[in-house]
Amino acid sequence: CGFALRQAPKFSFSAINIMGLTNTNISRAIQRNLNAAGVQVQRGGGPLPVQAVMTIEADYRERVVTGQSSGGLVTELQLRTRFRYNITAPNGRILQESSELLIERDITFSETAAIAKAAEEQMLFQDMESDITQQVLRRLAAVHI
Amino acid sequence: QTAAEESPLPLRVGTSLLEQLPQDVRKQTPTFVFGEQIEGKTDGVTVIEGEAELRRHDAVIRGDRIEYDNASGETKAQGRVLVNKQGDRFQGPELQYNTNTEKGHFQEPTYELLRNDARGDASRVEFLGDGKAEVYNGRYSTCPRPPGATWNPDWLLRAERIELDNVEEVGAAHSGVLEFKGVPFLAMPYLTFPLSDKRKSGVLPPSVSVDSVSGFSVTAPYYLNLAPNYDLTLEPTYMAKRGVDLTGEFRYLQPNYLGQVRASYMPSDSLRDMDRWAYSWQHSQNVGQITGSDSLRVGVNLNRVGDDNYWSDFPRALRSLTSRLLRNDAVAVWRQGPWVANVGAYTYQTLQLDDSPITPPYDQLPSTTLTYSQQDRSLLGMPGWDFTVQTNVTRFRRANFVPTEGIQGNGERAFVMAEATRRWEAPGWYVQPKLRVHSAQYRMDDVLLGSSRSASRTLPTLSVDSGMVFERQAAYFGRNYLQTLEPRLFATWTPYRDQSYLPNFDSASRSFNWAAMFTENAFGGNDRISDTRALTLGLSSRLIDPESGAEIVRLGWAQRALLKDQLVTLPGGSAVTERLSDMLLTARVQWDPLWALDSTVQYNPKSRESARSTIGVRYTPGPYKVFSAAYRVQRERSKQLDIGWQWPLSELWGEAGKPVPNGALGPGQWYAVGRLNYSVMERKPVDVVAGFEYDAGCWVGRVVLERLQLNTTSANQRVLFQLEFSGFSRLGGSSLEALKSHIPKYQYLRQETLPASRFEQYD
Repeated sequence: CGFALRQAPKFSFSAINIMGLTNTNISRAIQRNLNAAGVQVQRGGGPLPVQAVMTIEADYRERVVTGQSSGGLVTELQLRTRFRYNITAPNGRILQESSELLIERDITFSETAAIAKAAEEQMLFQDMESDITQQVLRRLAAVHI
Repeated sequence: QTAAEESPLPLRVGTSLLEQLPQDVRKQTPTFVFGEQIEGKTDGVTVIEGEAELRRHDAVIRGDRIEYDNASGETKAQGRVLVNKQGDRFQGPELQYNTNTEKGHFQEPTYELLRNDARGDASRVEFLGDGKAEVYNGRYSTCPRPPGATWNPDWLLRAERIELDNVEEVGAAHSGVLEFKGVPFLAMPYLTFPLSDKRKSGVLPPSVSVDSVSGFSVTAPYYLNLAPNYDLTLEPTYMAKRGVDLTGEFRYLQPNYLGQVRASYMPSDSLRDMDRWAYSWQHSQNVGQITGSDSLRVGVNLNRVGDDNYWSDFPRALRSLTSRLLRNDAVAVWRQGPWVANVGAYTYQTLQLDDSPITPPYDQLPSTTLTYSQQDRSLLGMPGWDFTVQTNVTRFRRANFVPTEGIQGNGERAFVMAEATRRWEAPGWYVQPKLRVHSAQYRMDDVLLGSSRSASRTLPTLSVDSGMVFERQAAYFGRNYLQTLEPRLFATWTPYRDQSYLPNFDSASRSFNWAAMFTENAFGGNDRISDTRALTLGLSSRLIDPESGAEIVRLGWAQRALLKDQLVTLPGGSAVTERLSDMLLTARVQWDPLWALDSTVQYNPKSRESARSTIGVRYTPGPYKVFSAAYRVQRERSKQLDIGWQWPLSELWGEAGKPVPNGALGPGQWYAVGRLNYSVMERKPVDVVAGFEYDAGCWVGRVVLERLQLNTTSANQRVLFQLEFSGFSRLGGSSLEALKSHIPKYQYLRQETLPASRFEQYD
């Protein structure tokens, strides 16, 4: 039915500057993946000539109560991860407009199980972060210099 | 001929004009004069008559007649005088001014300030040099002045004396009165306000509310910018039925630490005839290095209140997400190379209610964790292995614990978890086996079920995660896509050990979701290791826009098959004998940037029912326009509808506003805003924040209805009115925070922007 095993992604740049938030989990994962694909990554700029500049503007976690019993007990939480970035050429020409990836996960909650739930939240945030990393890498592969 | 002459220097495009000239250049800038008739001599007095104009690089004086002394810079101007100093404009009949010292005075001027678009008039303005001026018997507002007509701004500050400091970007009013629509409502002997968008001391928007518990209330917050890295917000609240609550929040930021302290105190609250208090402290600090290559960080998070009813008597005042469970912890984390050590004390304050008691989580006093992890090591000559060894010793204690049947007591637990894993992978596939050994030791204060005070348990777990990614070009609904097909197979094997006699300090069942389907242990925490011998099969497919790489559609399905019954349970649970788990179905569609849909369904194919499902839709057609709705169902437990919106009302009758820089959709706009959480089962709104915002241009008004269900019979309701003067009071307000956190794309009507350029106000 036309499906073929995925090939290694090809990036149209061989060197990139990562600016802004260079030391978050997602940022580091993107840098690691680009490195593995043979792209030179310069954190916060550097001496190498680059063809693209990725600026990570925002990367944060949110927790919101979405379900509450009428006694003020929390029954459901929503976890959100927001990641905003843009990609420009070294001369400032926009290659990819600033865009925000917003991922949400709903989990059940109980005050009594607060310790276990804190660990579960960590697991889900990591899951969202790897999801965002994969989505951003797909978008980076679509950048045309 | 040289090469340089052949190719002259190219002109470069400057993106901005120079706002401030260096001080020494500034003194040498020439003075130009224009007029119908000019008389004068070099270094003497020049008299310009008729359309007279005197111009320096950042100041312009115009009038019918200007006398200018070249030597001293002394200037007199008469008749329709205008001064433009760095974009600030003053107009009036008579000016005396020195262009060198920048000192002088202006009789009966009107004025317009550049940075915050403020304007006003006065009996006299005194220029003091160094960017400072004083306005006497003045009026001050950011509302527009229509040409010709008398100026009756919607709001204004009237004061005996107003100091304007363009360097500090702060204004200060002495004996000032704030008026709204001609009605004076706040008189202050001394009041400061910002002249720009920078954080400066000043009043924050006051709010007035009528509350079902507290009666009529007024909050008048004041912001103090103590230093660039310290600030303090004071929030006194007067509640007619109860008394005065004083809240303060202090924030600090230093290179090595940052944090905030918030404290509230209400002496003799007549609602409960007692003093009420609450405080919270968040602190994070980088302590530095001990041996040279390591790092040590400490963090403190305290949240305490004085009594069990605080959360319901002061709704939305607490910063804790869980209003009846307040975390209090202090932790130190040390890292060096592969080592991470973690020592902390974690406790909870639970606010008990007679008709809905909480079994509190255990306090961990203390908990010590040491983790060693190594990546990409050799094992039996094969590289690429990752190793982790984690040890943890914790003393578990339940606050105010009364030994009762079924609830076990306090004790200590030590565990070691060792893990080895390796990933074989290529762009189209991966295989990742993992071996884990988990060993736990318990020592209890009281006798366990097995008639001993100590117990231990060791269990190995072997798992293999694997997946493949296929791709093809595809076209659906007239669009081209890259379509993926991603099967994933996860196998896990843990032998059975009876753990029913062990205490349960921190284990709990997980929510049913994609990440949890592909984990070894059915429970979170370390007290129960489930005897899961299972295969999980997952299949997902994505549609990716080949132009942008953006994910448009993702569909997923996963199900777990138990090879043997799962006998290990949480206390009070029963063994899992159903071999096929519920199905997990997920869908996420972002058809274009306007629409987003996200849905998760837990479906039982045998009973043909869904145990838990959520569906959420968000529509964001433009700025300040968002509508979101989510429906969450837990079968036989809860059904909740969550709606959030921000919508300009003129849109509804077809007169769309146009976006204005830092003015939302322009003046004269009404917006509907809100968040509604409705319990379909109880047929009750649980949490409501809904109302209208009116943007007049120079002020924003807000009417918000808030309702919070406190228990099955009572709710706290209040109507809140808030006024925000653009360019005068900074934005803020707790009702806005509730909207911001519940409507993911909610936008404030005013935002901090770049300071204005003097070239925007050029004469």
